[in-house]
Amino acid sequence: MSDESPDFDAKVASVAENPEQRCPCILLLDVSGSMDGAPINQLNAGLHTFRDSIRKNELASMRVEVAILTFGKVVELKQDFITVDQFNPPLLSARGQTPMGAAINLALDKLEERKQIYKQAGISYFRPWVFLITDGEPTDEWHSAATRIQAMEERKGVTFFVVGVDKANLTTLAQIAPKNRPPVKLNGLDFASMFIWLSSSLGKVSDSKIGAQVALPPTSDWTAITA
Amino acid sequence: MTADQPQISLYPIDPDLAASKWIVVGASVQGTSHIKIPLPCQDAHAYKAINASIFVAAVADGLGSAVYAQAGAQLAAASAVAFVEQQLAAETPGDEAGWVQLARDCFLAACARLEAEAQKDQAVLRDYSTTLILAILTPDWLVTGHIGDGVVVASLEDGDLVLASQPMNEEYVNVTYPLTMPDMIHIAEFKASPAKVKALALLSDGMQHVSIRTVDHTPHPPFFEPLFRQLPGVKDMHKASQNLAEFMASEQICAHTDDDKTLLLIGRQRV
Repeated sequence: MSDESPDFDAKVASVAENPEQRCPCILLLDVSGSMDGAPINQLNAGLHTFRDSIRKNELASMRVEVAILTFGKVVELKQDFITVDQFNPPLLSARGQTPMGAAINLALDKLEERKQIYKQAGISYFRPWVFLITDGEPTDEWHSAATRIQAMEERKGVTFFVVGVDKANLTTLAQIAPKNRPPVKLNGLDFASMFIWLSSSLGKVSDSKIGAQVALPPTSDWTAITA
Repeated sequence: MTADQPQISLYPIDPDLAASKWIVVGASVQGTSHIKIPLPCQDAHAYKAINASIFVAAVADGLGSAVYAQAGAQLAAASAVAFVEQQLAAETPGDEAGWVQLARDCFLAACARLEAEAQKDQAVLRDYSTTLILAILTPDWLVTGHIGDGVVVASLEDGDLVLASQPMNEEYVNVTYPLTMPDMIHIAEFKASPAKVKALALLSDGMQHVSIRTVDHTPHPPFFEPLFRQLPGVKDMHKASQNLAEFMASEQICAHTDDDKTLLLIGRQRV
């Protein structure tokens, strides 16, 4: 190195303090009566696994915003959008029916609201994820919700996953899930592995611009093999 | 070992360039996420001083989802610059329409080059997906071609700092349009503006977040002004580029972005 002072020093530039980019993810969780007992306990534990797993990735925990919508006795926003570094999972209990159609509609409304907030605040954002978990089938009118979310998925407005647990009606769920991404069946009650997959997938998505086609890790660690 | 060291691409300074009036300081630096996965640096840049008054530069950002993204980005940037150089050797456009046409032809040529490469490798065009930003600087015109993200920022003679070319309106930050998409020529933007440009910056999207204000899409003056101000005094372009690369690989930048990043600064020597 020469001892003369450099004629160019980039460090004098100061970076723009922009708000962190966000990657919204809605967990749409079935808390109907049939989830009571081991399923709801494992799901609750899985939410903690999800949070802990994302927190290992510092950038992802500032970018991934999680919201939790439950459907059972009522459709309820249990957790409004919050970055994972601030997220403490609520304790869910299971009761009532499976108003999945209303829940999907509310999820999409919440997403639109959130996007407006991002736009006003000058926050850039990733394509949102909706992750639906159910052990049954809808007990309300679901066709319009399915049409709405599939249309959104088709124009790349959302990434929608449907996971069936135990006796979930995969035939009905296949009509709700996007055509190119059929519902998958959870292996037993292994919510933990599923949430680890979800956290690493969201970590990958929120990592950077990686093009329209994100190569997600395989789901074989947590899905049951179906005929 | 250097497992945690980002891969930095500096290009040797063309001796002709050092003798010309142009100053170039630039680097492409691997993102921290690409170090972890690991993926190579999929950003690339290329440039050429055509003569004392015309300069051409290109920046390309290979899409992470494409198998040969790195090759795609390098080829796109290099072939874009080579095409413009070749065309200008024959004829210099005289008006706005002529320059816009040159930029369009350049994008078609860069895409054709990737197509040829894909055929040679028995691959498909999509495997080489990359964004492409082209800038041609002349005494009277600033010509840009743009597909996908990244930005061009110009420092004008009158002191203004302007966003000369910006990404198309993609809603989501993880969705971008590549040079290799079917209807590319109708989606890419081509512009020739009569502008007196003092200095120019081409950035890939990895640098966008730290330098462009997301609230109103304006260049952040405390980022650009100190860099542009120093350009005319640069004696050793290679050393300056190395300094820039170190800054781009520093914690200060990496805390905000983990993507590959390119910053190419173009100015003229102080007279």
